[in-house]
Amino acid sequence: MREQELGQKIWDLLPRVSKPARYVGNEWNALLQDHGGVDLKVALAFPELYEIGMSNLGIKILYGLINRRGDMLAERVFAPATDMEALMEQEDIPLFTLESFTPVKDFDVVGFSLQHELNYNNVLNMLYLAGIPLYGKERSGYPLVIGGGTCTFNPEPLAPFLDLFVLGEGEEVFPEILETFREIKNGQGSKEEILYKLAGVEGVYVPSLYEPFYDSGGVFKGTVPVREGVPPVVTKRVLPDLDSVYYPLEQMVPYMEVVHDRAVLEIARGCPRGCRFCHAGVAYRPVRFRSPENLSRMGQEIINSTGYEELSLVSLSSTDYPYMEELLGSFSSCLSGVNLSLPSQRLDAFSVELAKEVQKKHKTSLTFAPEAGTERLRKVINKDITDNHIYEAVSRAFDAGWRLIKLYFMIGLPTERDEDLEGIYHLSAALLDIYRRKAYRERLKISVSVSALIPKPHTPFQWEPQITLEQCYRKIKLLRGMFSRSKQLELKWHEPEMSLLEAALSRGDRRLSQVLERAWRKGSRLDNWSEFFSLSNWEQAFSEAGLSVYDYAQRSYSYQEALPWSHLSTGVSEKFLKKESLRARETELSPGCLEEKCAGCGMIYCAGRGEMHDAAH
Amino acid sequence: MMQRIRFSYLRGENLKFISHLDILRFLHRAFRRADFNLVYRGKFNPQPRLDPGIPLPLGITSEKEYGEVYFYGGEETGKEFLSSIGAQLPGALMITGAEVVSLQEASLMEQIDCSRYRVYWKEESTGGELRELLERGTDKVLNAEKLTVQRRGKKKKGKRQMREVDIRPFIYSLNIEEFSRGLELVMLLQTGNRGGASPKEVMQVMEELTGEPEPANYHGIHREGLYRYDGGSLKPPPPFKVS
Repeated sequence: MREQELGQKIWDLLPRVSKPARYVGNEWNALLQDHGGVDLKVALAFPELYEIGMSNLGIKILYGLINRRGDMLAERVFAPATDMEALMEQEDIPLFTLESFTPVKDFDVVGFSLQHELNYNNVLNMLYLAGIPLYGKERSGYPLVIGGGTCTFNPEPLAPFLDLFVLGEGEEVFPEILETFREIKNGQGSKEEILYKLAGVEGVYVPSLYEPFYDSGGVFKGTVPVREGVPPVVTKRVLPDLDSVYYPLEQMVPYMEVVHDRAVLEIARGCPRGCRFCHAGVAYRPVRFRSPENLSRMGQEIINSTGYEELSLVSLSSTDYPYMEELLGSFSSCLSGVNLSLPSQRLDAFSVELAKEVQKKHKTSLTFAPEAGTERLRKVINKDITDNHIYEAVSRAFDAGWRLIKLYFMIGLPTERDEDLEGIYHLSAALLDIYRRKAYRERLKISVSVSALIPKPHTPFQWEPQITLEQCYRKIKLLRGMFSRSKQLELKWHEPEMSLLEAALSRGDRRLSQVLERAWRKGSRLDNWSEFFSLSNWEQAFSEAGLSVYDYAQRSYSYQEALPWSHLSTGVSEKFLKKESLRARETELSPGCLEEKCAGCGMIYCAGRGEMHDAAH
Repeated sequence: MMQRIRFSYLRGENLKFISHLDILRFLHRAFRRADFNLVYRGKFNPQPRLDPGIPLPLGITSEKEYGEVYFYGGEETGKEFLSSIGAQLPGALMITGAEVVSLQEASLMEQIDCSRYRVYWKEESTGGELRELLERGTDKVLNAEKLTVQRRGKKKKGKRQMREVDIRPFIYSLNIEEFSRGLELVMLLQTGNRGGASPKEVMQVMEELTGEPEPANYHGIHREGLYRYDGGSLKPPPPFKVS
């Protein structure tokens, strides 16, 4: 049942906000359970707007996983847009879930999905709107506030605000946490004791049971447990086998158009390539594949239950899925009226052939990510693609009918020189030339997007500095000059100021929590939206805390230095990251996980080879 | 064999904030779930031949909208159609009737030209004052020669242009009625491709003409029906009959 009185108050606001469909719930396949019939209620919170959050796969998985049990329920809540937020404050309406219009405060657990650093202040803002005290230590008699997702591999800036973080894949550990919590919440134990017990669950990081320490000069020295029995290093949870875990088949169908308005089928998790800048590549290691028989059945069920006209076969690198031909073959017979899409494709001829096969109807654009402009720099980042690979792949794309090619590059990569930037232009111009020689009639457009490297924790580039804003603007100016030579080449760039903040927060330590709070009090939230993002707000917040956003983003670390995320482990060894960092300097490639030779990242379970690596491997 | 079915449906409270285009997308997926072999049109980006009818302004409920769908199938009757699509729709979007129509029949847009709306006020505000105000407002609206409203026009150079429209010719009648829970203003307004007015616009001009905010503080708006107005009588689009 929906809450009658609060529901009516919310309903009365909706004629006054833009896109009211964000707040009405009731989507096809949404689940409304009776609150009286369960013994644990979870609010799944996504700290972004509805149209972003509804595109997230993790939320879909956890939502179905909890609601199918029968003894617990899960409802969704997203960040309200600013117009809705203002009306909620004015009319004294607390943050509510979409299924039943219940205040978030009335749930037992609030679980935030942490996918992006620029969403951190949405977490604070949502706690505030829910009427839940921001700081964990001030919360007694409130829901347990937890976080999961890729940001938990360095959640230190959020440490005082959340009660615990989940490292790794949630399918097993999330129910374990909920069951443990249900067992002890009705007992006599204090919140400290409850958290202490939860810290015993593998993959759970309770930040209040750890303390960072600094030397007299304010230099970070390490993070240590403050109680006995708490593991000094928390290691992420990994599912050994994707085929035996739950996957949502009855996916919700939103009324309004969301960012990814299609059915999603996860064909693999993890990526076999070892790109040195890539955080997801480390966070989701090792690579695991679902069986094509299983996927074929799942795909049909998803389409039957949603009616979607498009099915996206997602993974970090879909062209590396080894049974693709078999899978596409079975879909072409049983899902003939459905468009398939393959995001994250590698830049080679094989990928284009695959894209050709799946995208039969409507050829919009084809997107590739060479990431760097020259073969030398691509070796530095361990992206084993030659210029000729690119020419051949894109040439085939032209022949297959694509007339809009999107290319993604990073700028500010370690060892980058101006000739690497020129390489971005030369590569794009060479593609234009290839197209001209083919003498097709239609106009071609090549759209190039560049963004500054954000050195992420747990990657081989974690010790590297981000380039300064001045360097970044100089590089963009250089590129703009070159790209202005042709109208068929378009250059776009990600806002350098936003990349700066993202870099500072991703390698941030616990001191940044005060920065988050100060910036939030100055009105910073929805920072992923350029209309709301204000660097000067953040600069002030940093300086009031005696810190500098530039120091955090632009400093380099030495290999000997303690890192604020060293007590959290992805399963990939620091020794491997150091080795890879040195190999980058030597312009040396390292093998990927599907190759004969093993790069030796240290993951104990390595499903890419279908075998257990022993620890000595 | 290509079939064309015309259906009537209601849009309840739970879906009143869903836009016309979103309803179209939702219906499309519902027909796909029900395994209809829909007819598509367009080569580059094929779209289903599915029409949810005359757009209903955001925030308004309706008890009788009309839509149409084309699909390949046997000689399905309206009843069979109802039972196969029914299971794929929420209560707030219920198909209430379905009839086979010939492929030559004119479109809904051509066969519908007016809508009847009921604007209603909550019980506590139905005293003599509101009634008096509505009577005064109704007189002013009906006696006006011209009633100009601003509408969002096309974008020019990235800026949204506003255009002025006189809605007086689109107002056929206004009547104040009492119902069990309060007062209603019943409006018959022109709708469709020869121009029309929305009930919100009528309430807005009434507010301006009376200088009182109360007309705009209605509790809700409901669309009662869509018709073809041929002089004296109101008829639903064929083959539907007056109920």
